[in-house]
Amino acid sequence: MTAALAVQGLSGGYRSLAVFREASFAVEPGQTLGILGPNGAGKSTLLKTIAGLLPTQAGSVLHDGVAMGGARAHRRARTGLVLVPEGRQILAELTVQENLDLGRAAGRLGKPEFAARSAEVLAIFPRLAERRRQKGGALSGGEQQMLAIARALLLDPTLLMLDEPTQGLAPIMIRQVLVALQALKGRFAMVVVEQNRAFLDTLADVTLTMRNGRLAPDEKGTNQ
Amino acid sequence: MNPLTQALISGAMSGAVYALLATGLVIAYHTSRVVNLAHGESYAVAGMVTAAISGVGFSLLLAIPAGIAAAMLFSFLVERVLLRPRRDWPVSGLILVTLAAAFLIRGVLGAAMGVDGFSFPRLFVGPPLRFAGGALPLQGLGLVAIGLAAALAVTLFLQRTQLGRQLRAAAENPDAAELMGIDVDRIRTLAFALAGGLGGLGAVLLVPLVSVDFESGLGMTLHGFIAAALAGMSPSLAIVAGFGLGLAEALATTYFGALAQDPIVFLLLIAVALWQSRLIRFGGTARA
Repeated sequence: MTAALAVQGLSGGYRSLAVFREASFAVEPGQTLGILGPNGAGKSTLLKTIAGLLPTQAGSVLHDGVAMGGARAHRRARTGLVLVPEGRQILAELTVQENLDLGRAAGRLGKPEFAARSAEVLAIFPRLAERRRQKGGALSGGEQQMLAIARALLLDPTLLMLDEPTQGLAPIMIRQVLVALQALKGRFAMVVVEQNRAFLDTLADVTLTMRNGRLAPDEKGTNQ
Repeated sequence: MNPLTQALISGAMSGAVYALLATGLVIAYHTSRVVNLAHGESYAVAGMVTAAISGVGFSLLLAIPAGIAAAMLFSFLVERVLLRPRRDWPVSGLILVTLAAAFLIRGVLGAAMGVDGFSFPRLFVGPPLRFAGGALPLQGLGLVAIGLAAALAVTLFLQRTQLGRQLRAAAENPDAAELMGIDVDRIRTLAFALAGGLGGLGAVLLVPLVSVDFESGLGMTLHGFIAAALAGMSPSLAIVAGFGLGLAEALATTYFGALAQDPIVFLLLIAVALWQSRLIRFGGTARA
């Protein structure tokens, strides 16, 4: 079976500064990989490099068996390699509905499929349905995280990467995000970067840790 | 003749062009964060290309689209050839690149067509409309109507269409837009071409009433920038600011003389800048 994501000897960072080095791992279709690590370990830089927001310094990224090479982020998103970035990065000046409608840009779903997926996503996150006409910037942190995940689902991901999805959220919102992600688990591969071990212990099939730019198996190894 | 009515008519005509220029400047600014100091050159390019084609006997129906297309091409090339390969440069450096592009095209236009002013026949011909002691040429009416309609159409395009939403997304957060599958480079190029087209449209409507020469671009950039700054770089407010600037200029000329026009306009700019700065803390955070 072809891995949804195969990362081989990947190094990346900003200009000549290497933030992480020689990362290698694979994620099977439907599998959820967690990456734990403290602030500044290089987790977010790793995800940005896989997503194509930062250039690769060495190594390779294969998505569904296809080498991503130097493809920019929008091209990777159009293949179903989708990142929900740290801090949500929702578009504050656009309404919730406009944020969701941007999912059409990737062109992965036809019009009827997009409409059906939108309905499904709004059923998963009913709060968003209530706030469709509000600007993204007017939402609470938890609602923004729901919007960021909902927007990603409308790109029809085959690999969904989430960078610190619980960052800055109240415990009740963390539970809601966890329930939503558990409901989605198995539909596509996921890579979840977190500092919240309990969250990853519940969600991830396999967990790695990242320290000082190096990936290593987590002390717990396989969670389930 | 009623000087107030005539000043309002004259101000509305120049204001329509400033609204078009400011709208284009704002769109390009939002997608690139660069104030394109070559923006007014799209006005000069369109005016001179239209004049050249019309001057050798071709119909205006051919010359005008060709002039607007030339303006779009120029603006497209500024983004594609000069800005995109330098996207990792600081914004201040990129602004200087656009200034260099302005002087380059100015030199090219001067060398190719000489230093004389050019014009071409009016698209709307007929006796002027007379009302309240003023006279509005039909070309002027067309200029105001088409200018206003085009600027409003751009605003609607940004709000109501999928491509417009992509443009707004790319303007607000390029990385987030890329992650949504939006080709931000393509969007920037589109924004610059659209901006050039708006400047070109202003030229083909105004030049028959005034004339254009190789030096016209810089003044248009300046007026477009002042209107855009007065609007706080908002596309929808740029229309209002463009017309407001045109009216302020015309009233200043009518009541204080032509020499008072520039000082009054710049005083207006300084006053608005000071007012806007009261709303901003150091570090750029708006005060509650």
